[in-house]
Amino acid sequence: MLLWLVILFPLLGAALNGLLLRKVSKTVSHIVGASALIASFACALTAYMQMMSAGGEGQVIFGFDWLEAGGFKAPFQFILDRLSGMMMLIITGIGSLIHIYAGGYMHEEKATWRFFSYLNLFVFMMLLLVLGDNLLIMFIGWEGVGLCSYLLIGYWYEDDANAAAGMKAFLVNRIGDIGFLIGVFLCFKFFGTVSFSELKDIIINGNALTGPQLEAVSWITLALFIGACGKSAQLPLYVWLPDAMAGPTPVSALIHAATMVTAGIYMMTRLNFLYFLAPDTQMIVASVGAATALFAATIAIVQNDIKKVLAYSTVSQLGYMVLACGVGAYAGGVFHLFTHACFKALLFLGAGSVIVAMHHKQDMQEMGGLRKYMPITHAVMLVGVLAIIGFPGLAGFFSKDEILWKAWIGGGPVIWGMGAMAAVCTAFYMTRLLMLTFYGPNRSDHHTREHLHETSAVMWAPLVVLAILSAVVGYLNVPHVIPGLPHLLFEHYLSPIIHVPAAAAEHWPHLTATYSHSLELGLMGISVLGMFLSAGFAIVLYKNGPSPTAIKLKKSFSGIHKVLTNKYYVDEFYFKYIVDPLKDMSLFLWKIVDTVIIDGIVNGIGQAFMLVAGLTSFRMSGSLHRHAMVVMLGIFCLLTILLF
Amino acid sequence: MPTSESYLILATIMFGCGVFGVLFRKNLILVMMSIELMLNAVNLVFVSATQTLGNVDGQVMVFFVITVAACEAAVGLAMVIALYRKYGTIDTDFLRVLRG
Amino acid sequence: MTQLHLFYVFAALVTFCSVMVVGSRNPVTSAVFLVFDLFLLAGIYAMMEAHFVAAIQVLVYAGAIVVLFVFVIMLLNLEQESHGKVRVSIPDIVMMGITGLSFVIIAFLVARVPSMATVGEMTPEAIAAAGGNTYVVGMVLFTKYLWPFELASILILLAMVASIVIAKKDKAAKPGRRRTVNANQ
Repeated sequence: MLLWLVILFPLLGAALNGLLLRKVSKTVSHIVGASALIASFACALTAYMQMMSAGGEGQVIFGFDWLEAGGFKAPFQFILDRLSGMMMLIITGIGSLIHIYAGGYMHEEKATWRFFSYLNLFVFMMLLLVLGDNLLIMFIGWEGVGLCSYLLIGYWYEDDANAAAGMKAFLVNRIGDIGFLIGVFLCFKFFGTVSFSELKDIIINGNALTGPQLEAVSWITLALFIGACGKSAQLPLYVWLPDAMAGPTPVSALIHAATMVTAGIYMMTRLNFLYFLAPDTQMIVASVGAATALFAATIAIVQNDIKKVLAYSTVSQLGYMVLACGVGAYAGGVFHLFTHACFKALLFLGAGSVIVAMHHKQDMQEMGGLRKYMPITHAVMLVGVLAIIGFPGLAGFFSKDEILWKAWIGGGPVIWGMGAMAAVCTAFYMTRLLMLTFYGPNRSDHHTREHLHETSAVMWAPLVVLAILSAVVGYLNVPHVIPGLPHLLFEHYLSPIIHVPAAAAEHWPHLTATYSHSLELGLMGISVLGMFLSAGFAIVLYKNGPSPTAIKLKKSFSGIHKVLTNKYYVDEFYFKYIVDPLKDMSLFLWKIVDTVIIDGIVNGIGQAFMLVAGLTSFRMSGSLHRHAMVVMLGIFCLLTILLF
Repeated sequence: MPTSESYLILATIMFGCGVFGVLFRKNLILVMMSIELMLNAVNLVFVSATQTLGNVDGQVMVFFVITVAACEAAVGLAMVIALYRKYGTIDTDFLRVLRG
Repeated sequence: MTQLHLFYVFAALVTFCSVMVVGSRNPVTSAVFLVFDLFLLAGIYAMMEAHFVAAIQVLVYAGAIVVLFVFVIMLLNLEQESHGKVRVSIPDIVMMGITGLSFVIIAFLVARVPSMATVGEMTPEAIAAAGGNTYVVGMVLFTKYLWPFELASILILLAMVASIVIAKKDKAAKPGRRRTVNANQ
């Protein structure tokens, strides 16, 4: 029952704000939106506590019969277990903080009811996605969050660029969704069910899979992974996420950093038993993840828009999570998802505060020295940056190094190398962001500087909560090599969710093997050292704004710099080789096939009839008697035949 | 007692008159009267059948036919009036909306 | 005069009246002959001991429907048909010929239909024993044909509404015209 409340509160909030509260003041829509989420979080927490105190066993909560067609059944039911419970808490918890913050951020906007209504609807859809017990409910959520994301990216729709960014997100996601749908169909075809719990029964407890089923698993997982690529912004479908920064910053924090983009990781973790059965797919997943992590991190180095840096950073961090899933370290992936949700939400909201203070200027070249004006924001951003670059002791350090370690033992040195390089880049660009924004001289114009001030409590209070979380949640999953602390709590917590099917155990020896601590420590040392070096380098280059050395470096590597600034020309490539040919083809279909051929045929048939009718219409005198006579004649003929 | 054939032949004659009226009269009201004639021919057959078959269902049918005829006359005459208002005539030679 | 002779007289009159209904120039004359026709048929029905049908034939048909026809004829104040000239084209004549021929054929066919034996229970004696024609028809009408009977009542209601709607003056077209009339006053 509680679970239903968890889901219904955001829906209620969305309905209230969207349908009834259009005319009331912004404060009311803020209070309604935020309190819906807080109520939902309270229910979620209670439901979660009940579940955990009952032993943490997964529960299936039946709602109603939903789809039934022949042998196919997909009841509307929810699953509450350690994984979905945790996701539910992240969504409602961080969602509540962001909703509170959004009231301050959106204070000067009109039509905030629209904003809060969409945001609540998003949370509802995300909860459906996470709690649904079958792929179809997940798909509803999957599409629903996509829709809300589209609506919120295009929130300032008067600007064409924002509307275009929304559409881009929607369309790119559509490509992934086709993959997801194909995966669902294949899953039903080969296993006869789309329910997670039934699938798990079939694979873990059921008979050995037949040959075609085993083969199908590869295709199912691959197709679903394409869906994950779209939603979780992996290569080659990541292009929508940086553009999605056109939306309001709380949206970026909630949807494009903390929750929606992690849907792919959640889906893969939910279906981990399937992915374990498909080592080939897993290889692809790990490679895509590692490549995305490195690729996005390099782009982030040269970006000047504060939100763009964070966007590419998000893509890169999502790459880590996907990489973790690819090497079978689902606990590590989900743990990074958790820590990332905390510190990336923090960073986005901090950036949002900066943007508000700067009167919606986002270019870091015009910032600098904000430490003086915004001490609280500076402090929390410092925590966030230290957390994301993996400063020892903060959240990112534990989650990222866990993934890097699993990448080494599960994926080999190349994968690890890409991950570690990405970590080094992360340290550089995040430190650069911090330096350019908060240190050095202020480079903004006089007018902006006059108005620089700390934001209101409604905005910085959630930041402080998130900063505390970012600092401490890492201790939930301390690796073996660090003595004196309880080890790998999170991995144990999640272990009932992770099932390696017996048939696939041989492909995953590293999940059970033991490794020397010195190797793990050594790798950790290397990445920490790299992090310190590159962060230090960034401090030297940017502590007083872009230093002459930085400018000289830019000049001497102008080729690389240009490529990076233009994001490897991926958008241009897509436009030239996919969008434009599609446009040309559509034009061809329209102008030639549709207008000439199809319309020609249709009109031709009509004209042919008109012609024939014109030739024969002289018989149609319109005289009632003629018509009646013919009818009568027919009747007489029939009668004659009948009576003879 | 007349034979059933004689009733049938009388009915055929009436029906034939009705058909001629429908086919060759130009006045819509007369066309409708001819239709009434045809309906009456059918009624006659029904009643004669009840007699020969020893079954009164035919007379019930006549009742229904009369009901339908009343409705038909009411609606049909209403349409005649509407037509007259619109076109100023009820001569079927001038009502040729269906002309191709 | 036996019943058979009476029938022949009636049949001859019915034939004459039917021809006159179709053949007379003036619609009012047609209507009058139609009334005669219906009365004569009622007489035939009465001879066949179908008293109920004979009664409603007089009441409904002759009394109501034909009066309706006469009303409409009066209302429209129709001239004689087709402005004097009756144009009969060659196709019309061909058609007339074919129709007439068809009737001759049908009449012959009807004459060939074998006489049907009396099979039912409702012989004139049985009807008399059961309480008369009207009683028997009423019993059948309100038991076996109850639902069609109810439907017939709905049909009549519909016809009433429909004829009112069709025949009433078109309000939507009026206001404009009325306004101009007012303006002229």
